[in-house]
Parts: sequence; structure tokens; C-alpha cells
Amino acid sequence: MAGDGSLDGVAAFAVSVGSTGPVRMLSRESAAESGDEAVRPVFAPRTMIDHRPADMVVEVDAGTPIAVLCDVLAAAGQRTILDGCGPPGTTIGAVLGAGRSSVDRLGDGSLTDALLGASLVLHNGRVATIGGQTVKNVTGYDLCRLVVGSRGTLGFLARVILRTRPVPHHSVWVRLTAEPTGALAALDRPNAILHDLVSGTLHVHLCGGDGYVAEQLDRLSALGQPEMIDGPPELPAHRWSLAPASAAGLSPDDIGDSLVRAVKEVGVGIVHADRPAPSRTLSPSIRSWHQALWDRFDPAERLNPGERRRVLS
Amino acid sequence: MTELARVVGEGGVLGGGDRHVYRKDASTYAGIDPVAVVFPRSVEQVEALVGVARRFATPIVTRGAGTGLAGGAVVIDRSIVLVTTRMRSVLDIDTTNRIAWVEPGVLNLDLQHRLVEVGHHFAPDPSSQQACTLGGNVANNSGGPHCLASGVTTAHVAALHVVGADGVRRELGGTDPEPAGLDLRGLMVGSEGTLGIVTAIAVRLTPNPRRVATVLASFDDLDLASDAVSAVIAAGIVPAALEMMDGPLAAVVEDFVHAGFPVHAAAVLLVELDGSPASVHDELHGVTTVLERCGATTVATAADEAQRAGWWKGRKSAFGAIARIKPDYYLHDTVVPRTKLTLVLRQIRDAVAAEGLVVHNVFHAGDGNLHPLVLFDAREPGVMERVHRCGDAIVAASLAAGGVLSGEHGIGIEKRDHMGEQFDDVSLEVQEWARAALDPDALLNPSKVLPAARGCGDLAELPDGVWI
Repeated sequence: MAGDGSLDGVAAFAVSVGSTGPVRMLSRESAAESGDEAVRPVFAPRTMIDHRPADMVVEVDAGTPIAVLCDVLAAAGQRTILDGCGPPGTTIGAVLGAGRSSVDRLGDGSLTDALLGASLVLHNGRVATIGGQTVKNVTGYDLCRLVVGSRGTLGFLARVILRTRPVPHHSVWVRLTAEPTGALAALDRPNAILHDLVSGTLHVHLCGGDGYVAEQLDRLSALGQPEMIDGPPELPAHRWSLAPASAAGLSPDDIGDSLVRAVKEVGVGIVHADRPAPSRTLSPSIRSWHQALWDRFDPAERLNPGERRRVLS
Repeated sequence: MTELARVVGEGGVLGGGDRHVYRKDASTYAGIDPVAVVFPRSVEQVEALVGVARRFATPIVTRGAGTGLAGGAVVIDRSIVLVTTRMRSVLDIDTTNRIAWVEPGVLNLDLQHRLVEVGHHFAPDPSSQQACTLGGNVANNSGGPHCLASGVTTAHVAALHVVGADGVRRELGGTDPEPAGLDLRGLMVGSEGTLGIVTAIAVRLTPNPRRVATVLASFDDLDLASDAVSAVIAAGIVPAALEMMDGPLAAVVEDFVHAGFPVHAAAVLLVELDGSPASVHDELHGVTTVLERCGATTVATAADEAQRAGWWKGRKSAFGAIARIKPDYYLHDTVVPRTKLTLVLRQIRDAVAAEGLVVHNVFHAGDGNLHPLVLFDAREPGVMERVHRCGDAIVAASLAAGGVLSGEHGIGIEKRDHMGEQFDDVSLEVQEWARAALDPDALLNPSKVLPAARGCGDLAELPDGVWI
């Protein structure tokens, strides 16, 4: 962070972003996919900076793959909720830029809660500090939440400070056939309940100690026959966002004809389907505030050009 | 006045000498009389009031119950004060979606009472929850003891209806988990009335836990208690609440509330665990083991709900009990990395002692959120300068330890001019971009949050009559 004398990687990244011409932030792995020669690719640094387990924070460059972060934290018995937000090679910056929580949102909370602070490279090539290093902070405007999900259109994340959590003693996935709302009501703080709309199967993720897991499995046994499995099911590619009650009432026919798979996150409202979600249209007044922010944060639209459309959809 | 009365009726606008009451909030800052005070009852009236303010180029300071401690609702510019306390309906409670829509003037505790019957609660529980409004909670991104595991207000707000400085009504966020667009809801929460006027809030409801266990531990050394806080977290346990109170203050509280607090301890920790019966059982064993290993002289678990309620009443009565020691106190709010608690508490104690004053501490230790209370008697000549220097020392010690200016009270005017100590010029400029994008004419609560030279207002320094 600014002022700690360790900005070399961030400073070099800021120089590469510069102040003129369109730039796109890519991971090293996806560089070949940039596709547009008129847009210069830039790469965020990828160094582990500092893990402070007792403070439950980690400072890490945004170009670091989430699998690398996961391994480092696991050695100290901790994790972040970025786990499972993408394939292991996905960078931290890409996960936060997309702003999509993992299937464990029911227990872990929203991805936006993970980002405590960051060094943000601006459209003019300068570096701003947003947020802070502490787990609680209401100092000034909450730009961390604004940046998560902004797909780099407000600035490029160079280095981040993330909230960490203890790795649970047990992380157990079970499969059973049961009524989803009944499972939600019966369980205490399950990490995830996934309901396959076509097969009717539930996949439940339980995280905790011996006593907790045994207790919750007992409750599931009253609803069906839980069977231990290795992990969550493979999910269809498209993502729908509905109020939980709307998702609960969703039938396969509501999604589309000849639907092969659709899996909903019970109690959350995300539905993973093999059909694209209906397009969403923001009101003109909401779009005007987006434009006003972009006019200030990147007046020439040089940061990740074209991504604003995806932010709005 | 005529224009305002046309919008809210004669009974909805206050002029004359009664405006004086709305100069200030619960902070120690005295403001100036507002131009007028208005009490809208609907979003349509708020829209119309913004229109009047725009026509007359007169800023609006929005306030709820006025319990803010950072001066966010203090009037320091020629302004209209818009009070939300007549917008106090709970519009809908939807346990299927775990959402309640409320108007901004609903009191935090009133909502909690409404939610008891449906087995849910709203997680943020500021110490002022009997009086503070949910609109104020949103404006300040308020916290409370039970925000350690579950986060402050922003983690518990799904959507907002706001009226912007352009007089247009918008819905930010949504009741679905991933609304389209930038997280404008997240930007609005904690913006202290400078980006929009909140007219309705969709708060997230949390199911009540099946089991709760509360532990009271005493220590004969403040440093040992601070170290125990880190040890609990390092053991992989994140309690629902982890509070600390210094021993002398606990003794005063005990004399005031008779909650069963120790009267000869150097420090007291209040730890609450909640969840399933099995998880609470396991964590209770873990917490008591850690506390004993860290040198606690007593560790007790609440035997029943009455004892638990008594302990929490004691914790939440601490500020009131201070009056038994000194007539006035200055309550600060900073956050430090929890591993720096011991160091920073010692630095604060020494800095305050150097000014010939006394400090007590009652705070959210689990997330490092300090609340030093500097005690003084305002009748003592020159004491305010010493109190002010103590405040500066608290900020300096917290920032030097890697901390931040505020954990739950906000910036207001209290810490506005300290913002440059946490953020460099580039970082402050980015915050200004956000503000200028949504309120380019500085109509909403100008001269707050950002430093004077950076804010949209032209105020270079606090006017006469504003004191700390």
C-alpha cells in the first residue's frame, strides 16, 4: 500500500498503464486472447506481499492466481471467499473485477465483503489507495465496493488487501433428494445448498467442526438419504440473478424448452443454466449516474474499452 | 419558507427560534441555525424539497434522530435541515427473501422488535439503537457489537431508494443477489448524506441462531486482555461479538447497572457465540480454554437469558455510566489491526495522561475498533484544547499502527481534516470524483467527509461557534 516502501511492482504496473491510449488488463495466461491489436495489454503484478493471520488479512498483488493465494493461506489454516470464484489460474483481479460470488455465497456472504483495501491504477497512470488494512473501516466513500464488479472500468486493481477466514475443520459435500426450502429451514448456516431443477437433487456444503457436521447430517437424514460426494456439481455456463423467492418458484419450463441443466443456489437466488439469462435494462436515471462516474474516473474510456456494456448488462 | 410549506404543509416546516435544536447532532460540535427545518412524509415530498433547494441554491443536511457522533448532521453552511423521522413505516417484512423494506426514520430497535415475532433480526446493533434511525445507520454505515462476524450495515442492505441532488428518484441495488451495474448501493451506504437522500431501505434479515452463549472474562492486566483478543481469533474462532471494557469503567458500570461485572479487574472481555447447538458448544470450549490460557482471572458463562441480558445492558450502558466520573466525555472511533491493540491502547493512555486527563476504553475489540473516552469537565478553562490534542494523538497512534480513521461513526466534520493523514492527494481526488459525479453542485451536506480544500464546498475552516 502507499507509504510502505514496497510499491515497486505496483509502480511498474502503473507505468505500463500510462496515461494515453486504450489498455486492457489481462492475465499472463489469457494474453493470447486479447484479440484487439489497437488495445495495449497490461499485466498486473503477481507477488504475495504479506499475510497477517492474527489480523486475518492478506496483502497480495492482483495478478496472482487464486490457486497460489489459496495454497499460501492454507498453510496458515486460512482462506478467502475468492476460492471457487473461477478456475485455479484465474487472477485475483479478474475475480474481483467480475464480482461474481462462488456457490458458497449462502455461507460466505457476498464477494464484495472480501476486499478491504487496494492500490488502484487510474486512467491517468497514477495510483490511488482505496479502503484500508483493517477488517472494519468506514472512512470516506466505500470505493472498494464500487470497484468490485466494475470490470476494470474505474481503474485497474494492482494490489489488494483481502479479509481472510479460518479454514473449517471439515468441508463436506453431500447429495440427497429432498425439498430445498425444507433443507434451508432445517440447517444452521449451511455454506451452500444447490438444487438441480431437472433432477431434483440437492447438493449441500457443510463447513465446521466434528459436532456441527454430525448435527447437520442428522438433520439432513430426516429429510432424505445424504450421500457423501467429492465436491459441488459441474455448473452450466450461464448465470441468472433472481430474488430468492422467485428462484424458489422457478421451474425448468420458465428457463427454456429442452433445458438440459439448471442449478439454483437455494436461499441466494443465483440460477446456473444452460440458457442465457434474459437481458436486463437499467433505467435512464441509473445509467446517468454510471456515465457520470465513468466521466470522472476514465473520461476517454481507455481502461478495458467495451467492458462498460458488460457492467450494465 | 413559503415554498417549503407548500411542499410539506405548515406543520411540516419549522422556522423561528425552534430551528436552534437542529443545529447539531450528538457530537460535541455546535453548528449554526439552519435556514429552515422540514419534516417530509413521503418520497414525493423529498423530491419536491430537493427541487426547492435547487431553485434557491440552498444545501440540504439530512438527519434522522441526530445520534451521530462525528458531526455529520451538524449545520455549518447556510442549509435546510431535512429530518426523516416522519418517514417511519415498516413497509414490508418478507422472510422468504429475508428482506424488510423500511422508511429511513424507523428506529433500529423498533425494527428489531418487529422482527422478533418472525424469528429474524437486523444484525447491526449500535449502542444508540434505542434512538438511532435506520436511515442514519445507512448514512454512517453503522456497526455495533454484533458486527464482528457478520459485518457492518453495508453487508445488510440489499437496496435503497434515494433522491439524488438532481431531484430524481432511483433504486440502487436490488433484492436479487447480483443486480446489474456498478454497486451504487455500496457507494451510497456510508456516504453521510452527501450523495443522495435515502427514502427507503431494503435491509437483509438474519435468522435468529438456535443457540447463543455469552462469556464474561476478567483480567488483572489490560495487556493480557488485549492479547487474549488476538488469541481467540488466532484459534480460528470468530465470535458473534468480542467486546472489551477497562476495569475501572466496568466497576462504574457495575455500580450503575448491577449486571454482575467484576469491580477489581483491570479489564473485562464479553464474548458471544451463536449458531447451531453443536458449533456453539465446540466454540465455547475453545474460547474458555484460550481465555484461561491467556491469563484470565475469571471466566464465566451466562447461566440464562437474564444474566446474558444483564451483561449486555451493562456493556451498552457504559457511556451513560461515565457521567458518574466526569460531566463530559469525548468519544473517539478508530480502528487498528487487532494485533496492535495492546500497543495502541498503551500509547493512547500515555498521550492522554500527558495532557493531565483520563481515558477509559469500551470497544469492539474483536475487530480492533477502538472507542477511547476522554473524560473532562467543560467548565475547566482551557480543557478543550487538551481534549483536542488527545484526539489528535489517538488518530496519530491509530494511523501509525496501520489503522483507519473510523470503524462505524463516520467522518462528518470531526475527522474531515484528518483524511489527508490517511490518504494521499491522489487517493483523496478519487473520492472527490465519486462525490462530484453524483452531486456536482454540492447540494447535499456539503463540507462533510472530504477535507475542506477537497470538498465541494468552499469552506476553508470551521466557522466561529464550531468547537470540539
